[in-house]
Amino acid sequence: MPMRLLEKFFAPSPFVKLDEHTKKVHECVELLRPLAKALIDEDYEKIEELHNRMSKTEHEADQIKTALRDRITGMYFLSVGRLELSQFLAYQDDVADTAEDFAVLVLLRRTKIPTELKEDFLAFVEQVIKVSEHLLDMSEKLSSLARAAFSGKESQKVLKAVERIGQEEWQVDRLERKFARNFYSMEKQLDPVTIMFLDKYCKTLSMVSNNAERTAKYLRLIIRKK
Amino acid sequence: METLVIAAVIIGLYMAWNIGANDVANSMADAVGSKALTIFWAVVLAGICNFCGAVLVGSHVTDTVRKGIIDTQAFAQDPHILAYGMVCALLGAAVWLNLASLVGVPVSTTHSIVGAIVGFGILQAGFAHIHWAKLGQIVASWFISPLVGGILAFVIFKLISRYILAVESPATAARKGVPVCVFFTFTILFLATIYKGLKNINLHLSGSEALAISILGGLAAAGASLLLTRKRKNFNHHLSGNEQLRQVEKIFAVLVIITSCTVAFAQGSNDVANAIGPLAAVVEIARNNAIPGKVAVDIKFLVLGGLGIAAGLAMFGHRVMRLVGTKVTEITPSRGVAADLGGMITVLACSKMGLPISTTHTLVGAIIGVGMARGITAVNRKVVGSIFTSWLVTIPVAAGLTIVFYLLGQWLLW
Repeated sequence: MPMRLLEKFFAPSPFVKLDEHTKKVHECVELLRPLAKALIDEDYEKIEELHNRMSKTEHEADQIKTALRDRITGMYFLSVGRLELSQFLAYQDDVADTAEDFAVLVLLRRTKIPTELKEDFLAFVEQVIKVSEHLLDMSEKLSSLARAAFSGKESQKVLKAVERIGQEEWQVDRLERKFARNFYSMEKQLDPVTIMFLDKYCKTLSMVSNNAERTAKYLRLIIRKK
Repeated sequence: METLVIAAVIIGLYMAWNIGANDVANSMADAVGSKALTIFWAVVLAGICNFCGAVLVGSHVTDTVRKGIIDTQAFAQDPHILAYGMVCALLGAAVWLNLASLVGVPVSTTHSIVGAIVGFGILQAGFAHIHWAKLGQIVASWFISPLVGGILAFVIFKLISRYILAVESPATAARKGVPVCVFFTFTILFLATIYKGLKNINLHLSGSEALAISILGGLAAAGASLLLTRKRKNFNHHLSGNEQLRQVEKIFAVLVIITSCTVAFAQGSNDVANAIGPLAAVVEIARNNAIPGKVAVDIKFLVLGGLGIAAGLAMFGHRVMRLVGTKVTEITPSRGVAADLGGMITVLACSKMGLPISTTHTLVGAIIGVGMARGITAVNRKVVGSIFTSWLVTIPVAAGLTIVFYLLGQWLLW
């Protein structure tokens, strides 16, 4: 009896778990907003609390990633390559990692953000979160993409979404530049370590959105590949 | 001799029952898994279609199993030995199937019975009297059928993907596409049944007559399907892409029921031989005291086999259907149709050519074909590997068991 062969044959689609991972990663990025606000308000207790939450959330994302990786090895991947899926997961995980890096930075030193720059700083962080939102949106489209067998219209939609992320990321760059130019123009009034840290904040925050963009661009490869 | 016939009937029917209880569920997997059909109706339709396939197209493979593998001339002097051998083959195959299911290896009924018969043949008739050419064809077909099923399913799903899933308005395209699919499905079905077939019920038709009738039949079926899918009003244009795709699956749900039934039909035509082939040989030998002749197998055997399968299906099939249905959720109707068609065409073609193959393995090949066309994302590595292992293991073990049983029987009974 070629028994219950067909039952065991199908492996569950990884896209569900992948969705979970994306949501967790976005949770990490969402924490950037209260972190930035707490830094500006000099609410250092809040920063401690938020940092712990960020650590925990990033760890949860890691666990989902490991579980998915383990599951992946037991399957043959037909519509999406196994290495590609693994790589996509790695890129997405980097987004959460860099968000956590920011939380650590904020925790390390009670940097005072100059009043004139507070708005710009918040706008900068907000735009980074926006990029991550777009990534979340796109990742959710992955399952409908699978339903359409990676063909025609649905993939066109996702490819357009990838372009949009590129544009939003460019906005991040612009806001970063604006903020940086402003604090460098104030360099006489600021102490060197503060400037160092402001620079670190800039780099780390833009890393978050860069990683998000890199994840999105990789998706394009996955769609195009076959 | 009497006891031999009774033994053959019992074990033969046991095999048929087994096929019904375990294998038939796989043919309806695509319809049940994609939730197009309830278990009750799946069992009923599968039983009917399997029976029809067995009776209408089952004679060719049954003939092969009955007399195509071993050169029966070697037993012209003492046909009883052949009868003993066939019973042992049935026993060997049945035992191996049970053993394998205990261990969890996915073994095919077809492979087992062929291996068992070869085992007996080598023991009693010697290497020279096996139809090696035919056997070579058969074994080759075991490797080729999943491949062909896969390629066909790949092509069909690529077509579905391009012309229905990828377009602006998938739901409208689906409505147009379904009748086309139905036309091809039924034309092939009728052709397979009628062309050089139906001799059992004394209906002789020429090639062109068969083709004409098939095409007409196909057109009629297509017309009927148009009615079934046209019912709703045309509000498709306003639906989002995602919603349209869901509609497509709903439309294809009708089609996947049809295609799964055709797979059950095809399976009946190929698998009934596993139970009935040896049995028919034994009964003929007992009746005529001579080796099986040139006459095609009596339709009564096919009916008996079909009923045996249906009985197994009715008694146990629903349980397996339920299991299949809950686990096979990655299949949607659009994928199921492609896999079913790929499988059905391959199995029917092999049935017409008298080649006994495994329907389940062919379906697996077809599903992988759909997967390669990006219709399915992931399949279990271990299961695929175990299929390959079963190919290597089955013939030797079934043959070995049969030889053991024959020697035991020779020593103890006759």
